[in-house]
Amino acid sequence: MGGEFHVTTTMCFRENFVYITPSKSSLKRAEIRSLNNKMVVKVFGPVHAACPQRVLACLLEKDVDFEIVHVNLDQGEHKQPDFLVRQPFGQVPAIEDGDFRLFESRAIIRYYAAKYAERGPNLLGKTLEERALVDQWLEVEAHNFNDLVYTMVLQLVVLPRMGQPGDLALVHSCEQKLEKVLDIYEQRLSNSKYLAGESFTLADLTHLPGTRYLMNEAKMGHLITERKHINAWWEDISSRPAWKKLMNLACF
Amino acid sequence: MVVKVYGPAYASPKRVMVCLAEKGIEFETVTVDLIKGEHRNPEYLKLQPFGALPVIQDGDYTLYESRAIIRYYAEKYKSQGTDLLGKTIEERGVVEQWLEVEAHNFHPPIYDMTVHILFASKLGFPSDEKLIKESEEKLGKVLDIYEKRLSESKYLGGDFFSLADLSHLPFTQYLVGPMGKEYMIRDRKNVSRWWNEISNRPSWKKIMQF
Repeated sequence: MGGEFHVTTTMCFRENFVYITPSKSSLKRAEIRSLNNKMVVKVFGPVHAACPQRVLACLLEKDVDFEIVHVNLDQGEHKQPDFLVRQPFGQVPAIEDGDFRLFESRAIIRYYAAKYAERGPNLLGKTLEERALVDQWLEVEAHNFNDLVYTMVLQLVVLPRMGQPGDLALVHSCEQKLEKVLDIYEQRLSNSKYLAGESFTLADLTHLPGTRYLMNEAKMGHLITERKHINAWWEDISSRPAWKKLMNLACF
Repeated sequence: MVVKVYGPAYASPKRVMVCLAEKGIEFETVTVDLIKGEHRNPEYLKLQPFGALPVIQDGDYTLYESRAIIRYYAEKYKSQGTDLLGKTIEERGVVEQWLEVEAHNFHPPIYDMTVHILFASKLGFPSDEKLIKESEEKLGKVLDIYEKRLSESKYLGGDFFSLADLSHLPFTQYLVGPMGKEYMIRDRKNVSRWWNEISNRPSWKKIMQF
């Protein structure tokens, strides 16, 4: 499935982070070489898509330098042989860090949160029991939250932009299920400042991209704002400097 | 005090039980009858508010989501039993990658097939033949990718048995057994070889009996 949301892209350049499209790459390569003498993590995927954003938010939290290599989903670049070598399921994102390659956004964020455990905020908890709660809520997001949000955004935003009608009955059914899921989150967040405990972790971070799409393009913000503790949690996590940097990068 | 695992008759709890068996960790089971709707009882929902199986209790500690539980025990008992995570952060990263592949690419179609082929009549709704057919096609495409991976790598996560392989055991057992679709595994040479190896492990032979 992959959870790919893609909208019309624009070229954005920010200091240290060069946003390349392959067809226009010749001019930009010289800039990259001068900017980045050291190896940086390459993140393959459009900066606007939710799953790449999950990885970028984590790298920004950990202050890890990266380079975004754009993948044009509208033109099916992710299904071309060159990309399938990198990610055989034809999904974004994938990373390349020197010789090391990885895909699946939630595997990538776990990797970097562990690799740079000593740097920046602790995104994995202090004990094994806290780490397991981080994993629990990452799994909840993956299995209970993501599919519903993805379906709603696909039907409300992506298909109409491609000139196809969205299935509103399906949206309504997903919305009802998501209400029940969010009631459980509301209960959790009334007892705990963040999902896995008293500190911000990957469990919260993983919800950022999808929730933003839900509230903005899909115009389903009431699902968040009508729930007191979820609303406070959203205000908090979406105000983090790393997330704000990503929003700038994505020109949102 | 031993670990309590809820719902041993079903596949996702078995994901946890086979991990505990690989690590040599004792456990007890607590029956939860899905057909009777026991996963929706208030007492169960206090432990697992989404009403899904499994949940574990380890003394005062409660944890749910099988793939979170197996990560916890694999790390906590790293030096005991089989090493299911790899020796370096990079090895673990690759294990995590294929565990996520199982969760996002393998699990959805095989889960739909399981519900509609094995459980629909018991749960009182008509099985959706179109969904079954589409799911089998999707699963076939995933297994084709596994076939290539397993032609280059002994196990999914690398050259060692890991959580990435283990996670596939319970639902694949449903596929080759009661669903009658063993051909999906046997038609693929490397997937077949891999399935033979992982399903013949003593831990799985013990847990599949529950």
